[in-house]
Amino acid sequence: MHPMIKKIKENLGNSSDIVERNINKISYIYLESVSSDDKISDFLNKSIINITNINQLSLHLKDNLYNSHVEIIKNIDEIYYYLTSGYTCLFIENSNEYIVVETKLKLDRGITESSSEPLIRGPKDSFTENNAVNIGLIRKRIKDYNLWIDEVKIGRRTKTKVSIAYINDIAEKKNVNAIKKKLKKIDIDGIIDSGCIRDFLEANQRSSFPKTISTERPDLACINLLNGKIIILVENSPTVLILPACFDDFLKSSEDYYLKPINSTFSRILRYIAFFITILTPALYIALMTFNQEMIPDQLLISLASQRSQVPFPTFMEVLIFIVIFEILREADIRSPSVSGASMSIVGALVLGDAAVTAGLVSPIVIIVVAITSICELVFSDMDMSNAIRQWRMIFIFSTAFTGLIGIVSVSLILIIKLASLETLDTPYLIPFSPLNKNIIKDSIILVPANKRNERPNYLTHNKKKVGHQ
Amino acid sequence: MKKIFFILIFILLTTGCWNYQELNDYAIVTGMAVDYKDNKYEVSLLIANGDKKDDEDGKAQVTVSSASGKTIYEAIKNISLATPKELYISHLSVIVLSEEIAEAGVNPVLDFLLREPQSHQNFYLVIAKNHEAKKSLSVLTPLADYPSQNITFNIKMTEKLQGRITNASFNNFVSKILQKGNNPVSNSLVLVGDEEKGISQEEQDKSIASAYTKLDTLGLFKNDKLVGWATMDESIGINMLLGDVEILYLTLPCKNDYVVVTSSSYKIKNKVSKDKITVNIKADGMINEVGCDINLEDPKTIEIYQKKAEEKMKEYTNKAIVKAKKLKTDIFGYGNMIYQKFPTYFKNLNDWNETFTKLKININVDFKLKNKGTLEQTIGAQEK
Repeated sequence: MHPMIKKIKENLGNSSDIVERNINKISYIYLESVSSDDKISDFLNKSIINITNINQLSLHLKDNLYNSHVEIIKNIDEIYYYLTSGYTCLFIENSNEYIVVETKLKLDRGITESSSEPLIRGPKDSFTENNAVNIGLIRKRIKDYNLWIDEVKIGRRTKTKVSIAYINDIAEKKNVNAIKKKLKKIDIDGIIDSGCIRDFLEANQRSSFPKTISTERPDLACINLLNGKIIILVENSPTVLILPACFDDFLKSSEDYYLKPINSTFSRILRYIAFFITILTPALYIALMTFNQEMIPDQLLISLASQRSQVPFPTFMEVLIFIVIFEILREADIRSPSVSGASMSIVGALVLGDAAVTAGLVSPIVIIVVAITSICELVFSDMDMSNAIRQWRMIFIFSTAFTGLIGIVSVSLILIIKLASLETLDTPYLIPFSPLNKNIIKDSIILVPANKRNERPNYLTHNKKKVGHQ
Repeated sequence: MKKIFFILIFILLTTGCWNYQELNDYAIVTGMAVDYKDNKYEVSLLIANGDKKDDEDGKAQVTVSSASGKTIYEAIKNISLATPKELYISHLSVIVLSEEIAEAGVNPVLDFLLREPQSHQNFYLVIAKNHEAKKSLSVLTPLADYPSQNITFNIKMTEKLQGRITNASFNNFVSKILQKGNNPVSNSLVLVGDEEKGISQEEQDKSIASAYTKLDTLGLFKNDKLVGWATMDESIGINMLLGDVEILYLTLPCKNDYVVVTSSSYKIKNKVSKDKITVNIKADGMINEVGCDINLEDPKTIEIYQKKAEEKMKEYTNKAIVKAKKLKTDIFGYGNMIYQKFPTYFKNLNDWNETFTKLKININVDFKLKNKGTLEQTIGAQEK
């Protein structure tokens, strides 16, 4: 047995999944938990046994292995990375060169349909936990040699592969370099999901609004790549990050580009309306009910007064109680297994909706307000976006509880100032509205037909002209 | 950051919810009536009772609270002594004044309503003609939930559809008093039926109301004082000259019966000179009802009735002018038009209303019958 094997086994703490074998002066070691026994028996063993020229093994072994992914390494420390990644490590007697052979076991689910970002029209596949598959899903769509993929390994212990994908002649070089620089600086124990490295990429961490798009959809990733954005794929994470992102990106869906643009424009306008409804409705309700009653039409006012006559709490408390209960319900719904979903909906719909009114805890109009608010929130598929909206909704509610409509106006100002001051990779967050950008407003709240959109976003690239329109 | 946080907290706390009021704590006043009794104002407020729920559809019921005081303000404060909630008059939709107050001058009432910050000044002003103002707020009718709604909806609907009612919103009324050479008109209400029965809640379930309020003819004001009532014909004439007409129906004589014609797309243009006003009225019309046997297919017949309609319209307007001149009040705002065109000339006049009686007013009417409805001929003619 090769002396190194003993040392490696010791360093791995004699873990139970280590397998070793000796054939003809060659010994190898692998971890059965991440390696495929079949591959090793079929290719490695056979090729070793077939070797005839045993004397000059170290020269010929590499050429005689039936495997496309073979490497010679000299640094002992690298062995551990290869072993844990599912490689088999070969040692030759009296030689200090080591050969690693790829024998990975497939530990992924297949490509499935996206559950968090469903579409009606458009490709159905979604990213998986396998980095190579994810890159493949992008390569499959963009067969351009300019699609470059860089890789860094992050995490002292997890040594996770993080790939940066961009189209070389479109993406801004300084953005790519900035991202690479930021990624290389990361020095932590481990990365489990792409969400973990986002904190290192974003400036203005105090802001609750997301500055990177997270998506499971390869088609959305490719649309963004073609526009000059940069994509970060993290091993073992089905969610890729797209940088830089602005506010407008969170109100877009990749489906918009597959439907007729005039209809997509309509849905985008609806999404903007939904944004304002979901962030403002409860606050507006409180302001109108407790400060600015003169703005409610006569008949509605009397109807509201009679609805509220049974409720002992102030309007502010009433709304707050119900919104908090609803948020807890939503949180519980996400966390709980689908089996208990049915009982959850009964509790939500019957007990909270109907019984709370009958018991005089809340007035029916508050249920309508909270329902409208939460339905409009569902328009945003990005979890971080809807969480940010939730947070600002609360700020709006608290300020109106004290100052009425003035609170809404002042918090709106603060919100706009905050949003306008954000930026990622020198991209203003409110682009194309502030600063007004005529070039990309064609693909924002309105969507002009593809044959009229002949320029790429000019804040992302200097290479503006799309091929075919030159 | 901490500093900013504390500053924000203090800003929020020191403002102290300056305007905070729960909706339940408000007594929502939707109507107001002012009477003058024993040298005191008697103010009655129609309060929509949000707390009392009707079993079936949650309709709010109403109460009328009244109290008297030397001033309007005092009377209202006296009402709030008997009300467990804060009186809230932002949603006032109608104010009814008694005839005595209108004759004595409405300025004291207007002053309160203009000064009060809560009042939005977009309500209707009507004069109670033959009854106490309070009573028109108390009569319940089956078609509207509360009397104030009944009156306002009635004004809103008929103002557009008939031309007998003026659009006398409070703002409109006040601005006419304040304008030079202009005087306001107001709508009036009459009470029909048994008023004692009319105030009971059961009244809303009846199919025939025992009492109801009805919009009546216009009252002519000179500055803030009511100086006389117009007849129905005069009311129509006033509204025609004010341009406050959308649809107007005219009943024209024919043989021994009548032809009813409505005019739509009514347009009025005034030509102003120092001693003469020329009013050009243009309107299109259709035939609504034919009572006698005439040949509608003959263009001459149509022409005859166009002429008759023009004459009828002239008659209405002339009656209105005669009345206004007789009462020496320029309710048409001609003085204001002259003031805007010839300000120096107007300033040299001592009393415009006196000059108004001598003002020449020419009226030209251009009426065209464009439509006969869905029936081309009369029934009698078609039988033949």
